[in-house]
Amino acid sequence: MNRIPWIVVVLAAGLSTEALAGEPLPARVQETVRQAEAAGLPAGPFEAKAQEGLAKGVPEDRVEALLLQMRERMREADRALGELARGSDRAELLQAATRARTAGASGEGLAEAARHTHRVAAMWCLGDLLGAGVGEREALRLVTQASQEGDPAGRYREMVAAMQRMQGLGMGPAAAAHQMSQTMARGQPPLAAVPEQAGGPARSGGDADHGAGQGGGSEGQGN
Amino acid sequence: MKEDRTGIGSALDVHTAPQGLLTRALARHRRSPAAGRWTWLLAAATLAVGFVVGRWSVPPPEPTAVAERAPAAGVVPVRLVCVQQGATQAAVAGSWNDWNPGATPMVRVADDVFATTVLLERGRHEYMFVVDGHTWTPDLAAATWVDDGFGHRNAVIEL
Repeated sequence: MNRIPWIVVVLAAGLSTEALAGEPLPARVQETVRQAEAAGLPAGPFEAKAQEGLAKGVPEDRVEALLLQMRERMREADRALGELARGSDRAELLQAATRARTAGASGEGLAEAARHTHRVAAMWCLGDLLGAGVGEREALRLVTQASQEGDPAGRYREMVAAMQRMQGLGMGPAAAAHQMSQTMARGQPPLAAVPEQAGGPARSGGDADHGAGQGGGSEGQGN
Repeated sequence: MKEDRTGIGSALDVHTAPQGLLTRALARHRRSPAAGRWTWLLAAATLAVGFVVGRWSVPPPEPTAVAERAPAAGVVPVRLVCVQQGATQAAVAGSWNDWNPGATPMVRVADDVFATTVLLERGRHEYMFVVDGHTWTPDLAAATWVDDGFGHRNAVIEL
């Protein structure tokens, strides 16, 4: 009888990081994901968000609450997009549309973004601009303007980066959006709209080298 | 009967005690009334430590050969750099590795500087740095960020 705990000790000491890393999602979270899938929504974005939250040490009930909110927003986006939501990129489009919807996009706004070229990137751009505080009408105008450029996907990326840089310099979202629109109308890239006080011309959006990330103080997440 | 020169034998039943220091110690342990209780406690404590270590430990950084291989079509190599004063190790957790810091450790390239190159498919990716195995830190040098819905800031890469 006394052998049993010793066997447990040996097994526990032998557990590796890899053995514990692949643990399944908690039952309540799994149920939320299952319900979303039963409603015709892609399970991937929910599983990914759940995994993200749990990995960051977020309490299970907060993760579940976010997933429930996400499910509602995605349902609204799916209804608003209707036939536009069909296609091989349905999961990515709905994920981006959920983000835009959460940031305040209307059904009409979602449908308009979904009609642009590189529609998933356009939808993410709409959501990021709305999240930065740009009004929907102005955000859609910018997305439309970028979609008419030679490299729409690149322009979408640059617009969001330029917006965040200008806001970091203290510019309001409306002023930043206006300046960016005028810059693009002159045939210049969005990052050229960032004032020179930022340190000169910004990098091109095609640069895949992300520079040093100063971890300024821990966010103290985890156990 | 052999003379006990170690002083241990006084606690043993000299007619049944096995030979050897370890076996004599185990036999002594088995006879202790609290042996079963302490053993279970030790088992539980070891399980708890194993669970915590398993969840949060980051394996030692290994030099990555990723940048030396030609990437497959549609895959883009992205260099990520983390500067964190006083850190002993760093890793990247993001949407491409199921937010598992153990999957993408970074290599120390200078004092307080860690780097790695990841191969990412075209599309949108979000990530954070994980410092010393437990501190989630945003990449403040990223071009774009987004609220993750949990109060953190994810860096965004769109390729």
